Amino acid sequence: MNGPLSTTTVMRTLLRREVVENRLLFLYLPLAGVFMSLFWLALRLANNDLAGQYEQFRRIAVITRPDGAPVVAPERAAEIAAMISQNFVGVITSMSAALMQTAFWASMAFYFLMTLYQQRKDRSILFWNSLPVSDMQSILSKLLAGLVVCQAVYVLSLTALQLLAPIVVWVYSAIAGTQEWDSYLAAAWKYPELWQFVANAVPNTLWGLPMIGWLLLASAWSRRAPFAWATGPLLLIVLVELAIRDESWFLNAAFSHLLPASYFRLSPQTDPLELVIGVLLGVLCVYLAIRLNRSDDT
Amino acid sequence: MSAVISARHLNKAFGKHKVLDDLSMNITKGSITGLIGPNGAGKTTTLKAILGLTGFTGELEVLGMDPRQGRHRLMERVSFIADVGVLPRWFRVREAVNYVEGVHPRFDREKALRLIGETDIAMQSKVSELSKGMVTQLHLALILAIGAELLVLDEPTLGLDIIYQKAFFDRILNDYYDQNTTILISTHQIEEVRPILTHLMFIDAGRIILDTPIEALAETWHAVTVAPDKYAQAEALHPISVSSVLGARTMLFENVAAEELEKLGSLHTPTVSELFHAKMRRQAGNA
Repeated sequence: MNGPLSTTTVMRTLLRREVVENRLLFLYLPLAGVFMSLFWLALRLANNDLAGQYEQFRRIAVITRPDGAPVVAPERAAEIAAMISQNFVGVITSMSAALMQTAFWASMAFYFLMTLYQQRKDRSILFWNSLPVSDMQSILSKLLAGLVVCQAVYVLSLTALQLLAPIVVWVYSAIAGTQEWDSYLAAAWKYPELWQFVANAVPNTLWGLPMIGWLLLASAWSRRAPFAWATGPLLLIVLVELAIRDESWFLNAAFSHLLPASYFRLSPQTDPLELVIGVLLGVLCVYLAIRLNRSDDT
Repeated sequence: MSAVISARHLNKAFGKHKVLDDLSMNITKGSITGLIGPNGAGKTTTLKAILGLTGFTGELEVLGMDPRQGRHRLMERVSFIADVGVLPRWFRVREAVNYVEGVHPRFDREKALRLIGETDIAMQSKVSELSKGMVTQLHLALILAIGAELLVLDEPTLGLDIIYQKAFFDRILNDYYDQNTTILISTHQIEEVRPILTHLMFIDAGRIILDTPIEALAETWHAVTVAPDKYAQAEALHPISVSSVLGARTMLFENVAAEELEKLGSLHTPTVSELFHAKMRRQAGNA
């Protein structure tokens, strides 16, 4: 017989279940994001005329000078070439990172909106409920799975993207027999910006918590059409607000929390009071979701 | 004997429809009770109430606990098989074993692996790849490896062929049941479960209409194929049901002495099906 199980063991088991059950969202999608980004980079490399771009840059620089003298001193040509090549790769990896972050938040919205609803709809709820797992453990495992495990997978994927992009460039250079990327490669092997992703993950999560909590609550509440339950009450509030005044504070707040704070900036641009109120609202929604899930007739 | 389940005046309604109507019952430790009733009688709702999966009013104690408070703690001591096909289809067999091991303090991994090893189920298989019978075997192996004090089965062999049905109940008797465990089975397949039952309960319209130990069946109820010239005499003893098949009239009596009935025709102990039909007809007649 097993004997008493620690909270950590139970939670690890529940997390494993969530990850395996939702492996498409939690594992395959970020991995596909990395491979597609690298494939995109390889395609762009194959079709890129780096020397031409450099010449174009130089011509523009020359034209811009009123006296016609070259802006770029010949001895700085290598430095400029490195800048152009780094920028070329950087644009692709940054756009990929932005797309993957969007994919992450869209996945989370979908996951939290559907998880309790789909669990109730499936007959396997009778199996899950026949085991000694409390509603609180179950819902906390879902929160941890989405916000910690899945987010960690995305952070690692973005880090892998940064590490693998120079390798793709190096392989391309070797195959194409070109040396035009040498200056880029010489500077590319730096430590990836892992810390930045990790640092952003915490404020992003706290900032998004009211929306996540709300989606989870809609998932616990809905007997059908969870999307309608998630959006309907919010729309109603916005309509009432717009009927009373010209603009909707609530709509702005909801949209703001829908997207991660650091989506367009690298740090939360928020008022600390709004962050705290949002977190409290999120926690309240999660608490209500646990209560609703508990009282549900299976 | 101590009561494992004690229910007093349970009530539940969906709108105006009463599903549990002042239902009271006792299930004693070491018993195997068959809860039998027609569709919509309240069997599943009763079981769900016992498992803390649905709300109700009234008093209910399961292993000394109120299932409405801390269902997960109750589930450490109670196991439940709803019917075939409730295991998640995306689960692999190995994952199912790991999951139950990770959340259930009473789970015996070695026993589960041994029981699965005795079947044709591969550890790498997905539940969706298994036949209905194999899914039941897997579920049963997981549940038996828990060794709970109370096992609740709701139509556990529905849709299975006779071989799997027999194997299912054999396995429960051989690998689970002893005097310290209690089994409550809800089923339509009356005669299939009859040999393993120690107690019988009939439920209709949310009420328990019969609650008896199996050994009392032969003492309390008698079926008589009445000789044609004794019909009037038999009717005078107030049979609880009368049925005619191929010209032979069979009457079922409750609490009438066997010696008296022997004079009316050939006597036998009614099957559970005969008793069930008799009781249901009577209920319908009283309604």
